[in-house]
Amino acid sequence: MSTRQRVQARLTRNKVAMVGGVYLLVVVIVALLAPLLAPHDENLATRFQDILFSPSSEYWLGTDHVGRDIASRLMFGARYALFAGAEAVVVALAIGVPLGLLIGYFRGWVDAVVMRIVETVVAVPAIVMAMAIIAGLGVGLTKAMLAVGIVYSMVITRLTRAEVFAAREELYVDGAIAAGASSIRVMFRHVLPNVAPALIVQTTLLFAQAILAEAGLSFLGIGAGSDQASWGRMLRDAQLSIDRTIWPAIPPGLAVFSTVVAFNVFGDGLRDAFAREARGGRIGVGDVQRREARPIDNEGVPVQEAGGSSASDPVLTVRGLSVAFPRLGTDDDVEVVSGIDLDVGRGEVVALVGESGSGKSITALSILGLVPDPGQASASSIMLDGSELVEMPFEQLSRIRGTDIGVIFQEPFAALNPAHTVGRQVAEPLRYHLGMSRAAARARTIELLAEVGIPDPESRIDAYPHEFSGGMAQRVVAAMALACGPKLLIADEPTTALDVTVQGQLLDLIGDLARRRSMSVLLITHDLGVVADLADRVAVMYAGQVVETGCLEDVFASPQHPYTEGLIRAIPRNVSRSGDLPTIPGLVPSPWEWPDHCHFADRCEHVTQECRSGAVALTPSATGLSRCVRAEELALKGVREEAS
Amino acid sequence: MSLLEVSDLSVVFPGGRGTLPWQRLPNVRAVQGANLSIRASESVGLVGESGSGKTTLGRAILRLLHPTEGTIRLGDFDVTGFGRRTPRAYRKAVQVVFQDPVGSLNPAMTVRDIVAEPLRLNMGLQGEALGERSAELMGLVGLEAHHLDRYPYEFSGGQRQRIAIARALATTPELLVLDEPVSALDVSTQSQVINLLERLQRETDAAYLFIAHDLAVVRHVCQRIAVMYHSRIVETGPADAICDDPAHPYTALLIASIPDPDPAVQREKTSRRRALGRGVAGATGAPPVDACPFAARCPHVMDICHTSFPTPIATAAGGEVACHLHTTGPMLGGRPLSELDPDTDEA
Amino acid sequence: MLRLLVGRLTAAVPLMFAVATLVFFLAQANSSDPAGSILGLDATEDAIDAKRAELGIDQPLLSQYGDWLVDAVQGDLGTNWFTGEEITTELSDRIPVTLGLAFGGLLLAVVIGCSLGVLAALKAGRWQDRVITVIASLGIAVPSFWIALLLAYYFAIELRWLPAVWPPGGPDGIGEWVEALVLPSVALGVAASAAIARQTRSAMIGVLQRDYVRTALAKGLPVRRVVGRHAIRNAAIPVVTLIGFQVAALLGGSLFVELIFNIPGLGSYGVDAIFRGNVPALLGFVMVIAFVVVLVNIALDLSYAWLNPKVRVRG
Repeated sequence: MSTRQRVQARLTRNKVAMVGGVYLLVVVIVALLAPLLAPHDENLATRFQDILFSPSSEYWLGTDHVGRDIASRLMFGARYALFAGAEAVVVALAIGVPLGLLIGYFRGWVDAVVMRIVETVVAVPAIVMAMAIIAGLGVGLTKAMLAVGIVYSMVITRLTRAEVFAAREELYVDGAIAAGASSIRVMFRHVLPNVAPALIVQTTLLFAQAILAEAGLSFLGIGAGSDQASWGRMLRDAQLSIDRTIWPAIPPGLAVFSTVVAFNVFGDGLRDAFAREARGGRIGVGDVQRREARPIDNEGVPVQEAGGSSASDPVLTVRGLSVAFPRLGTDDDVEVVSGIDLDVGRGEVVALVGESGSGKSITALSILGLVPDPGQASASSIMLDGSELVEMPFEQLSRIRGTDIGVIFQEPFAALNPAHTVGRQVAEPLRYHLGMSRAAARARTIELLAEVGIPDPESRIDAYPHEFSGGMAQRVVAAMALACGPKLLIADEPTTALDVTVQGQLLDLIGDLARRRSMSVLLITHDLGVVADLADRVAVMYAGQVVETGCLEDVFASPQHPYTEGLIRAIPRNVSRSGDLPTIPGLVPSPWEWPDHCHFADRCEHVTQECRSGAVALTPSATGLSRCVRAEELALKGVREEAS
Repeated sequence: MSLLEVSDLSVVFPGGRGTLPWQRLPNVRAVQGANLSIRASESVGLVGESGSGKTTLGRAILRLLHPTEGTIRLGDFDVTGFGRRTPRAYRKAVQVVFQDPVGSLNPAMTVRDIVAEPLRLNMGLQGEALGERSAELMGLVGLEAHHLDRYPYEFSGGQRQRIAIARALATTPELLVLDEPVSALDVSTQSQVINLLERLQRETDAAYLFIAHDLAVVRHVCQRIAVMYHSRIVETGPADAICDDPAHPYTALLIASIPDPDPAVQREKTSRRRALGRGVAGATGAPPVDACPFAARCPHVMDICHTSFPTPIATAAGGEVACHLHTTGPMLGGRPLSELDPDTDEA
Repeated sequence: MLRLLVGRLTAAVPLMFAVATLVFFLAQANSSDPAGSILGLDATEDAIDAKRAELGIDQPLLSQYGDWLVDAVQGDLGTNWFTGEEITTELSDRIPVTLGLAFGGLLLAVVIGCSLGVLAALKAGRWQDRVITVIASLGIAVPSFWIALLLAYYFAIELRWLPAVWPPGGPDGIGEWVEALVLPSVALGVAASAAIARQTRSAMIGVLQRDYVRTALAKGLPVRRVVGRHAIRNAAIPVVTLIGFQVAALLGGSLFVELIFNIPGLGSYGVDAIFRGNVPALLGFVMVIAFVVVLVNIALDLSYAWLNPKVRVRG
């Protein structure tokens, strides 16, 4: 489906925008057919004495102060409104788009000069600038809208230029240049089609503004002349009889108002239709709801015992966690995480391993109760050191989040508020949850910053996030997470955004902190090397399910699930290797493509008929748990066997 | 006789505007004094972390930016002497695959348009010949002809990279610059694409400049590797030699930092890593002109490292290394670092 | 910060200069002869010539420009062709009136717009959001002069709650000022508050999706605090930009509102100047408006620096 078809489909689904569009169509039709539809003449009164009549069957909307039929004038007014808007918009685009393209693409001194002119014109309010131009050109509708168009062209130039800037930074422009495309070709074939959506939206909105501008200028008397029944002119005339009746001002005002509204909602609809992804909105505070364990989990082994094997003193136990999202464009929900059981013991580092699409990050967010809207999480139990988190009220959960669980997310700079100093952000939980005074919190913050290895913490405490490097910023995030002495640290891809020589240091830090503070760590990552560096136990996730768990050595030396085996083998290692890299054929299935049987069946080299016969439960295996019906009989290759 | 010869290349970006209209921010030295050569059909890896300058070097070779100093020669082309317009023939000879499968394909164009563009522009193909070649290219990368009529957003990351590779190979280039081609892909997809790239190199005889931060990946694909740190090339040599027995302390740190999924190996690496890297920051700020940029983090640093950048000398393995350890102090003279006594820092 | 201020002021000078040049030559492009319209239809040739010499319009255009510029820089905006008064004096009497009006409209717009925008963002997708979004979409479509007409009619003429005309000699005391400005300010502020509400809503929604908001929630902070301390400051930046535009729009809208309520402000002065072809008056009017807009934008730039620490450190 092409972009145009997609946009059309989205637009037609937007009822409000379609109403606006239909209304505009009506206005256009009225404008075109005005001479046929209007019962009276636009400029001459049928009878001079029929002044300021109320609406009647002869005069549908009454008459104005010289006896002219308001309804007829209103219909002709549509012509002037559309003409005026069109003139302004055409002028604005004709000047603004080529200019914006040129200066946006070529920059240099032309850009500097033109932008100074744009800034100059924009420095004066649009109406005032238009008036100044009209002073030079002379009054009249055509000249007035030309002036308006010239002023608007500055807006279009700026917009086009900004869009071209953004588009120029895109890699596909580099790719086109490298492929031999000339500047002209790049501008028209690559940049312009991607700039077009923003321009189209802006044009629609500008049309509306132009109609308002025409109304205003005609109201002042420098737009439409006295022989032109534009809506603005009608308002000007209405003002003359305002002491007797307000009525003549109502229809033209409503006409302008409704037409502008129609343009605006249609333009907004266009904007939404062009948007690359649909947007959510609310703060994601979906709390986890309780649900019963599903039959599939009960197949063979009761759920409650399933994960408890290796964690003797569990800090975190998760049972039956599932997360569902509504599917775009349908009424169904789609599960992205399905029936997760997880345990983390005291002082233990558990790694949750998976690639993109496995659902590992959403799992972590669900434990925190922060599944982004419109997702919905549910579980039969999430216990943190004895407290049941499922269906806990938000305030209580917040408190636990702040004091008992610490979080490190992937992107250090995104996680830190750019407007607050580092010290303030680390101190915030200290002051809010532990009630520390400002001085005490500051002292503790300095200690924390030192603990995470930031040099010179006394002065760095007042620095802003952007003054740190990536690795340092991530340490600040760690300090924030540790502030209240949490029992559990959740680290979601903590090193992925960092350089490899800095990664190791951060992992060392997390390991040291875990040992020193007897803190448990739930480490979420796609990198098996990171897992080997830090973890005590491993849980492997694939397509929304846990497929294997066990302690580090066992899982890596003799995996009990073909996916784990495949993952281990596919990693490029620093060894001399000849021939092809082993790989897992195929693609990770999207959540709505998950089959009812083993999710990995289509890519598995050990697949049999049995694998496709029904849902597979997580069952005990030689080294832990495995979601593979053939776990016992297969002797899968581990990490040692690949060294040659 | 090498296909690509980069000599003494420097790229300096002008600083931006400051707050006051006449102020300028300091220049950014992205690449300094780089020397690199690639033979025909050879695969050379350019490894470095963020801020190393590897991407900038690649873009200079692609003529996406102009170097400040130095020369680039490709075959008979004097690249740095081109002037304003880059000859069609050069564009035909050098192509690129970028890291980001999302941003590197124009979302408004069909796959057919994307793949056909270089064919149309550089080889003048049209109509049936164009269609045939486009379908052929899709087959080459493991996709189907009917994919040509779809849009990029309909494909997965790995498939989009294949499309990017198809476009790059369209004109049978002599040199293919790959800038982090697999970094944004999942592990399982990564190995698929790496295997594809290797197979294609065998089939098309193109030379590769493989820019990446992951030594393990580069080792698999490339015969020779160049290591960059903070605007300088610090070591070059055969891939196995660099990865098993490096001559530069930064290379050693890089290798020790690569996480290994074998827990026993990783434990050993962790303790080695702790010994090798001093200080906590990465490469920040402006790189020095007359000093070794790694001096601040190097466990073997000497006084001379702060006052001059070492002249590269030949290594025993057949590459080059730029490190004072080889020319002063322990006088390694091109032998690998492993020959340094860990306690006395002598050879 | 001081550097920023100096930098912006320095950049403002050539801008004002450019505005002056542009408007001067634009205004002169009109071919009609002002001397004739000043003196009336039965003026003699000699009288017209003398008047033209008096006004200085028989000089070449560039020298007129030069003279005007030299005077303007010293604060003398010339003489009104029609009234003979000093333009600077005439304008300075009117500036406080228009500023009061625009400020009133802005205050209304910011208070109402921001509160509604934040509310809509927090309740995104629910009924409060839908209602506010609809009202805002309607609000930006309303012509300010139409609202002014309706308000003037209902509140001043029909109900007589508020004055319909400007008190002769100017309002006396705060009470009279407020009474005189309420209706016009509301008329001006409606569209602006709708625009601000929409921008605030979209900026807040954008910020609420950011990682640092998620982190703040992960730190266990209550929603109120997350919004108030973390979100608002970062959402403020695009809203502040919009407020800058709105100030310009409000000054433009004041033209109409002043006409309807008969307010002796800058707007009515400017409209009069256009109608009569009163070039120096028009010039003076545009320069003053431009100056106000530039000052406001500088103030907004400074507030950016306060909101966004990255801007402070540059350069």
